Amino acid sequence: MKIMTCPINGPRVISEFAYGGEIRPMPDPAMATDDQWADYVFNRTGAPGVKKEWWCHTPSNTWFVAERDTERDIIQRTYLYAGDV
Amino acid sequence: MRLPEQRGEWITRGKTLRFRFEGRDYEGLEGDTIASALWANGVKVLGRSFKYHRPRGILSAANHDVNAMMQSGSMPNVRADATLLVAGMELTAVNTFSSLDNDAASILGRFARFLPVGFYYKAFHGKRLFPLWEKLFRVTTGLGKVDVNAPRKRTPKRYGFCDVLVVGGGPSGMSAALAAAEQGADVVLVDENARLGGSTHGRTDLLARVQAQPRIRVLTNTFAAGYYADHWVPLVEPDRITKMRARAVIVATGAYEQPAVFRNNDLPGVMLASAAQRLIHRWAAKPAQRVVMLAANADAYRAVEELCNAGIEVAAVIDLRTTIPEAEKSALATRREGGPIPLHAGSSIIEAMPAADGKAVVGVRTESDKLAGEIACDGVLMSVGWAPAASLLYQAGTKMRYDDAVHQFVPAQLPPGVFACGRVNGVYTARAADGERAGSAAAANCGFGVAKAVSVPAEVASPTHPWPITGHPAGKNFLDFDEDLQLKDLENAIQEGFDNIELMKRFSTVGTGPSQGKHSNMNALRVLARCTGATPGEVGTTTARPFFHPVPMSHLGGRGFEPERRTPMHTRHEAAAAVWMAAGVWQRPEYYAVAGQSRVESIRVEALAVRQAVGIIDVGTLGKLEIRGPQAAEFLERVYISKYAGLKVGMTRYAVMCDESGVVIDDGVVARLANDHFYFTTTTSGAALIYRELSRWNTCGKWIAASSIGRCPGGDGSGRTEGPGGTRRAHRRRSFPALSGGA
Repeated sequence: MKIMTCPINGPRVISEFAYGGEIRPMPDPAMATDDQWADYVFNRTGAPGVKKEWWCHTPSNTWFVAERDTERDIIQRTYLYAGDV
Repeated sequence: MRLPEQRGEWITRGKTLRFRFEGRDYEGLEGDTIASALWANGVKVLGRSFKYHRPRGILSAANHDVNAMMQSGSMPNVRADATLLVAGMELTAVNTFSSLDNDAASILGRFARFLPVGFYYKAFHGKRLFPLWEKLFRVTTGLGKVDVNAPRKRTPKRYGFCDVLVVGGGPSGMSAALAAAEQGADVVLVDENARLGGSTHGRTDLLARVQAQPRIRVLTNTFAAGYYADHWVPLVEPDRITKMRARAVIVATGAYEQPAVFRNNDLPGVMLASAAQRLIHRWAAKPAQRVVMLAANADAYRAVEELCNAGIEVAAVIDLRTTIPEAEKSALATRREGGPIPLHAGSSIIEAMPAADGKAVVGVRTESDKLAGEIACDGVLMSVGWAPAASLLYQAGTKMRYDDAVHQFVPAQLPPGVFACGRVNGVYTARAADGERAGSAAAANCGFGVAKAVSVPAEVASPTHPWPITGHPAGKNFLDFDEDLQLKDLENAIQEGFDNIELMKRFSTVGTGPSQGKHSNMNALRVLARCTGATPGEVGTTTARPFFHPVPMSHLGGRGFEPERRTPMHTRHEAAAAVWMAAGVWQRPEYYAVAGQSRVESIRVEALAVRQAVGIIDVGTLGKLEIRGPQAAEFLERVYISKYAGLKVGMTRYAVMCDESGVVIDDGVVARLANDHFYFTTTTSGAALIYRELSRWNTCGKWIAASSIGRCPGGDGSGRTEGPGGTRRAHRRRSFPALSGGA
């Protein structure tokens, strides 16, 4: 089983974590056109590569950011969200 | 036939075990496997082959002899070459019609021409004959019989941890374990055999050093079933499975000796040289009286020495190579009364001769012209090459390359924390040195010491022959003993267009039998390479998936741990004779049983009572959340569709939650407890998910400066009165003030 490092609780097995999707900039709901909003809501890029994702350590309900290489299945870095995305 | 005592033998003389095989009584010794005990009793037909029901004996004695598979009581498909003999065993060979001795289905061998490669694909092509074939296959295929009344067996699972896990207890594995432990690492060394030592059969001082090293834990009779992410390796013992998490893994799994392909290479008595060595050194069982050695490497000549020492006559050595190093040949000089052992270089066996009943080998015919006649023998040993036991390396994501110097695949690029040494790494001579190198590097990888520079000399001669295959117009030169595939089957498959390793595997079924191609994949790959004019490296290999050996279902089956949640009103419901139903993990009363009243009646009466008067519903199962903060109302308005800024303190409002695309994902009731403090419910099933999702929005802080979302303990009860007889109100048992008003 894979191991992921929670920024608060350290390395734990992957079954303790939940995936929260790729972190993508949200367009301003008040200003966005329907097309822009629909693109944000429905379209995802499936191309492999290094992605920034939301992950949650479920027993402690800790949300954090993981940088994951989906092509090689390697978790490169995890850190707490600091409002920089 | 038993040999005199061998140094380090695994059997205990004097401890006799009685057992039955195919209705006859036999005696074995403690420490015997089923196969070694039978072989020592002179029983050489241990099973029948899968397709043609040909008699088969020992091939590897290393847990790959899938033709020697037995039914032991209610246990199907017991591998005779790897299973310890137990007193009182009642054994029969699987896959036979009437009996092993006289298998009615052996007639299939005569119809081989009508059982072409890809038979299933061709047979099932048309729909019309499908029912006929299906009936036929149901009877003729399959191995052991499943006893549906067999008692349920539970095996314990445990978790293990170590710094360095070494898989394989041969010379390279033991050296690796020692090197890692000496640098301070906590080491676990596993080996599938009853004893460490691998091909040294205990003749090494490494054994004593391993036993004296306190930082090495040794697990014998244990195999690593697979490699999973981040060095997670299930270790399978006879009655337990250990889920081992290591910080580094050293794969020292060695190599499988590979059979040569020639006509009748499957007769009982034809076996790998390493199988004969195992029989001699482990169980002191005489492999044969007079053997012919088919050689292509130095291992063959070492084996000849050991055979002679054990008093077995070596009739001749037939070497596939034209030039043989002098150092190897010297073993033959003094080994026979009346002159040296005859050596036929640059020759090959073209055919093994069967006895009249087809159940034993009685001689061989060779390619060489000087030997027009046969060489009489009752055993043929094959020592023509090896294939790396690289399953774990492949599963770990190792990039392999074909090394022409040793004619095998070797690791080209190992993943971080994974190491390989010994034969699986293409090192046959300096195995201990290679182990030391890998062990030191693995320990250093875990932060113990620094990786030592150990020089590992390259092989002088290849231990493997690139083409140990001899054609024969009459066929029966088997390439895959599990699936009964002959050389021409593969050639035909390639001719029919299945000329890619993956296609060829699926069409011909090569390597898909119980041994998963441990002794057939390499030769199949060579045939494909030669037929398509490619190099073995270009052809490549298929992926060896877990498990390495079959794992009993009892090891895999676990107990289900289903939590059950009860609301605080549980005892009250119980007192009212509630009949329970599961709502997710929660127990909820479906209805209250009344004597003399059916389920439907009870439900009707209850519904009517609520319609006309009043009732209480236990909503303790709902998710209960709190949010505090100056912008709490704004937060709720982001996730629920209603407005909450104007909700008065002490009031409640129904709430529908939507996701970003506008799909309703949950509903509940929101109550305002204070200006900056809301209490709200979610559905029972959504409780955990909604809390998690709201926490994410809160973390992301897109809209709200700071709110705190809390989960009210599930133990807090809540009930709601329903019906015209009561004011519609929500109660929280402890701190909740009485709320009035509508939703």
